[in-house]
This record gives sequence, C-alpha cells and structure tokens, in this order.
Amino acid sequence: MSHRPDRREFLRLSGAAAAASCLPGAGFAAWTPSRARKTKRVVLIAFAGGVRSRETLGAPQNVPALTQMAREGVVYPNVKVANLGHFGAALALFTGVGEAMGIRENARGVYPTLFEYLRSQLGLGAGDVWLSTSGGNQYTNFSYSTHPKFGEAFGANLISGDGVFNADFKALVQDLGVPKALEGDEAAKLDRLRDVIATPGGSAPGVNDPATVRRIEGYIVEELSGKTAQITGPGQSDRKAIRVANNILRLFRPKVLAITLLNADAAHGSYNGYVEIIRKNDEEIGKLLKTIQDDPELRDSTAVIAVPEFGRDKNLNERNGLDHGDGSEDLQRVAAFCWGPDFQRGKIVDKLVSSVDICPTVCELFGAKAEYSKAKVLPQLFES
Amino acid sequence: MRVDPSFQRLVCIDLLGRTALPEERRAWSQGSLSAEQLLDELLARREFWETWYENQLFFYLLLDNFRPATAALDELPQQLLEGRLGVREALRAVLISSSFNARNPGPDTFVSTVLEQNLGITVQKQPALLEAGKKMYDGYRGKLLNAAGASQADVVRIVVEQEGFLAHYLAREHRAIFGHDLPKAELEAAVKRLAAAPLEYPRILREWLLSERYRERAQRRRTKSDHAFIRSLYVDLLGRVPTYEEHQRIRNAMQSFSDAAPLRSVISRMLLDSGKVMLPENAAADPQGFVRESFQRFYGRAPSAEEERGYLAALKQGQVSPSLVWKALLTHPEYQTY
Repeated sequence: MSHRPDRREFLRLSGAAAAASCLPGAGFAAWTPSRARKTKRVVLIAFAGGVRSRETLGAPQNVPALTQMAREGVVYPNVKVANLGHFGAALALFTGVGEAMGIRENARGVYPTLFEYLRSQLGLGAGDVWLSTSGGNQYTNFSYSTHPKFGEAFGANLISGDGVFNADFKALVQDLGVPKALEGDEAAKLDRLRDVIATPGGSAPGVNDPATVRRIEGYIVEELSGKTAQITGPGQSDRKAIRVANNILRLFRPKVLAITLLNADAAHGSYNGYVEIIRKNDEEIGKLLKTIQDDPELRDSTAVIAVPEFGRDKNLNERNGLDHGDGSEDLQRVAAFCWGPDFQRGKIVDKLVSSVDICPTVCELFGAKAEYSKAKVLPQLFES
Repeated sequence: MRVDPSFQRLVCIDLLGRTALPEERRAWSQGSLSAEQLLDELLARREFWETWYENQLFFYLLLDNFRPATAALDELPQQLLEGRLGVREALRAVLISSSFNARNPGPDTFVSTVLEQNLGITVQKQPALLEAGKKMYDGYRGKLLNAAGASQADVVRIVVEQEGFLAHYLAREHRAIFGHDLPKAELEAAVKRLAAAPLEYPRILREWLLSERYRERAQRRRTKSDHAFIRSLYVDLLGRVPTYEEHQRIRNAMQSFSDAAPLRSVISRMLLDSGKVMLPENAAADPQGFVRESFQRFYGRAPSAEEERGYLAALKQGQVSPSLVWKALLTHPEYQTY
C-alpha cells in the first residue's frame, strides 16, 4: 500500500521541492517530482467559449465524462470568474491573475503563465509542456507572456489543430502526398548525414531541441495520415484540439498539457448548437480519459482539471441563444472538475473559490510556485 | 568588386522573400555584378514592392478573409515602383481600407490597433488618448494628438501624419532585416529624410544593405520568416515561387505551431517525396559536384572539407541516395536560417 503523507508532511515535502527547484542551476536533470505526489502529469481543459454549470453539473446527461470526473474526483460548483471577456478570462486560468485584457486583444499577457513557471522552476523542456488550442490568433498568445523574467524561452509548445489539420492544408497534402516513411536504417542514415553538418557560427536557437523536433515531425506525419483532419461539422475545432491533445498525451507524455476550447461561444446564436458542442466535446474528453485509464503509465500518474473561463447569461436572447453580459450567477459562477490520483474522490467543495486558483493549483502539483499570482491552491482538493 | 554568392542570397531573401531562382543564380554568377548593381536591380523590381506589400499585410494581419481585394490596393506595388506613391501614403491606403476596418471592428479595437501598430503606443497606459480616438471614430469633432478631426479616416490621417509614424515604420523594417534596433541618431536622420522626400525609402534601404552593419549581420544566422521559408523552399526545389494558394495553405499551417521547425521539415519532405522535384543529373556521375552544388543551393555556402568528406563517403559507398542527402540538408536547422 502506498504511503499517503498527512497534511503537515505534505506541506513540508512540497515546500522542500519548491525550494529545491528555485536553486540556481536547478535543471531538468535536477528535477524529480515530489515524492509526496503520484501526479506526474496534468491535463488542463479550459472551456474558453463560456459554459454554464446548468449544462454541465446541472445536466449530467450532457456530460458523462465530466460526470465521471465528478464521481471519481472533486467538484467545485462555486468558482468565481476573473473577467467577462473570453480572452482575458481564459488567460487568467493560466496566469492566476485577474487579467485586464479585453475580448479582442491579440497580445501576450504581462504575467507569466503556468507553463513558464513550470519550465523555469523545474527545468522542463518545451517537449514537456504543450498547449493544444481550438484556433484563433488570440489564443496562441497563451503559450507564454511578455514578462522579462520568463517569456518565449519558457513557453509551451503550441499546436492549433484547426490551423494545421484543416481543409486547406489537407488539399496541400492531397496535392503533394504524405512524406514517405523512412525504411530500414534510413532514419539512422539521415541522422548521421545531419550530424555531419557544422553550421558556421552555429544554428539559431530553436524552441525545441533537435530530438524533440524529430519526434514532433513524426507526430505530424502520423496525424496527416490519421483521422484528426477528417473531423468536420459544428464544434470541429474543439474536437480537433482534444483529439490532437489525446495524441500528444499518448506520444509525448508531457508533464503539462493544456487544451483551450472555444466553440461553445456559438451559444450567442443558438442554444441547441451550444449544447450539442458541449456534448461532442464531452465525448472527446471521454476518449481522453479512456486513453489515460487504458495506459498503465498514465493511469496512476495523470490528473485532469476542466473549468470554463466563465458561464453565460441566465436567459435566452432574442435569437434563442445565450450571450454573456447580464452579470448573473449563471455567468459569474462556474463549476470546476478535478480528477487525479492525488485528489479526493466524490467530493463536492461548496466553498467559494476563484478561477485564478487553477494556476497555483497546477503549479503546486509539481512543487512549483506561481510567484506573481496572489491566488490560492484549491482547498480540500488533496487526499489527506 | 564582384558580389559574392552569400550576399546575393542574403539580400534576395531580405528584399524578395526568397532565394535566387536558377536563372538568376546563373546570370549573377557570370559577369562582374557589384553589390550596388545587384541592389539597384532588385529594388527596381515590382517583386520587391509586392514582397513589401505582403509583409505589410502580414504585419496588420490582413490575411485570408481579411486580405484586401480591391483594384486600388492591388495597384499599390506598381504605384510604389513607378514612384507615384511613397510608403507613408501606401500604408495610409491600407489603414483606411475596408479590410483593415473589417479586421479591427468597432472603435475600441480600431483605434487601439491604429495607435499601437503605427505609433507603438500602449493604449492601456494612455486611456484619455484612446477615448479621444474613439470619439473621433464615432464622428464627434475633437482633437487627437493635438490635431483636429471628426471621423474614422481622420484618426488614420492624424496618426499617419505623425513623425512617430515614420519612426515606428522604419524601426520595424530595420528590425525585420537586422534583428535589432537602428541606432537612435540614424533613425532620426532617416525619419527626417523620409518626411522630406516621400519616395526615399528604397534608397535608405539600399544604404542599410551596403553598410558594415549588414556585413556583420550576415555573420549571425537568423530564422527565416515563414514567408521566406516557403518561397525559398519552392524556389530551391521546384525552381519557381509558390502560388498564392500554395503559400497561404502552408503559412496558415505554420502559424498553428509555436515552433514551426518540425512542420517545416515535414513540408520539405512532402515536396521532396512528391515526385515533382528533379534531382540534378550529375548526382551519380559526379558526387562531389552534387554535394557542392547542393550545399550552395540550400545553404548559400560551400561545404567544409569535413562535410564534403562525410557526404562523399556516404554517397560513394552507396549507403545513401542523393534524395536522402537533400532530405538531410533540408531538414537540418541550418536550412531554417539564413
């Protein structure tokens, strides 16, 4: 039977891990996950298109996967949101700061994201930290901030599934064909040929190291031959983002994998369309949970957290849709679902918490600290 | 003095957003073309202004559905080439286009974008300025940056007429080529010059590219923009520039990654394996010539003795095919830089 530390021991261990990670020169080799935790990976799903609790917690038939997470994990039905514009509110989940960014802003935030905290403090490589986004130029800004101490060097690998696995790119693939698989020892020969090249003055530094570039290259080729590009219909961008994330999890086993979903904002024009998107997304989340549960390595080491950036109005608009601007409880209180090996099971925490608490909570799981965030770790989350 | 091939490659990428076409390389390798003559030739091409225009559209994110599709804007490169218009007026035409308006709908977004992208103003730090601009956008008479106006077009006019507009423009053009800021005194002089002579930009650019600073920049490798990478790849492998659709499809895909390096390699392999690429005929008969020509074509330099030895040994022993050699060169980080 595994050892479960009590609260005092837990705090001591996580504090020690955090302190160790801040030592100068603490790098990837120096990092070991907190012995107090089983969690080695976190998947953070941000419903960044505005989703009310009524259609999730209040309608289990819509969301069997989230319901499973609730049954086997911790639910926070009273999560106060940080901003009422999609962009700033979603960014707040990643920075742990109530962002002032407007709905149409297309700029990186000034506060570090959880990706930057984790890469900086734990010495993780870019291949360990991924963000799969449903699309939109704005949302690529989530991978890193403009903070002078952090920034691109500590950013997440970002992939927008709808940008690369879309009809346009598919047409190019149909025209040119998928690259031929390297046969026999061709891959090794290719590596040897590349190793001979000595770029005068050295190559410009890249986000990923060469080995990770090769792995991502292989992943793209696999995706081009797979089914992600074939997803069509309403909410396709979200489903692609989850499908891509599922494949990234399977192939790269990153420490942190975030997914931003946007299609629920179709609610402005159609309530029924909005509910359908929630259902379809939940189906894909169910597949993600299954990937985790079917994999011996992932099963006991992966946590999943799902939370909307905000809800939606209480009443339908004149188009039978749902806007977001009435200041109602439906808009300003959302439900967060936490599922993982270190979390309590079947627990509902009614206490008022905040969406900005997500960032320090993810950091805490790895023994890192969101140093520019004043938010708190979600209470009563961990098994005692 | 005859211009060297590495300079040819560098200015070709910086001015035309691509490497040299086979016929250009042939022409430039004969005769005694100087750096000055090469620059004069490139700057006098419509393609230079077309590349400039595409770069501006990319800067303002006027892409895909937001790409201007009016005859007037399509004519900008030709007008710039013929000296009927300077860069300041051309940019003003872009900013007052319906595409720019559609891309930045509403007073808040429009005024914020115009101020931020053209003057480098952080509007969050100057809320009164933003409010003044928004009122003017909405048709109220008022003052913005000490100039009077009463319309959306006036917001653009006032911003474009600022000296800071030219400073901001020249600074970003310099950064795009050199990767760092233009020294302040030089920037101020260039702004004055361009303000007094609106058609002066190509000559300012010519001086930058003939400067010692540009020689120094050549020693530091910089990552090719997606635009330059795609166009260069097509030129290097197919001997032609990509069509607009080919370019758009690939660039949009590359924008989907924070690190496009893996996708760049995949696309290089796709093209190589597509059956559309002709490998040089001398590959088998003259492996040394093949290796040297390949390094020159893709990297703009000769192979080092060690590189040549390594590649020749692998080719002569039949361990690798010419196609695999090209795959190695194209998927190496060096090909992503220039």
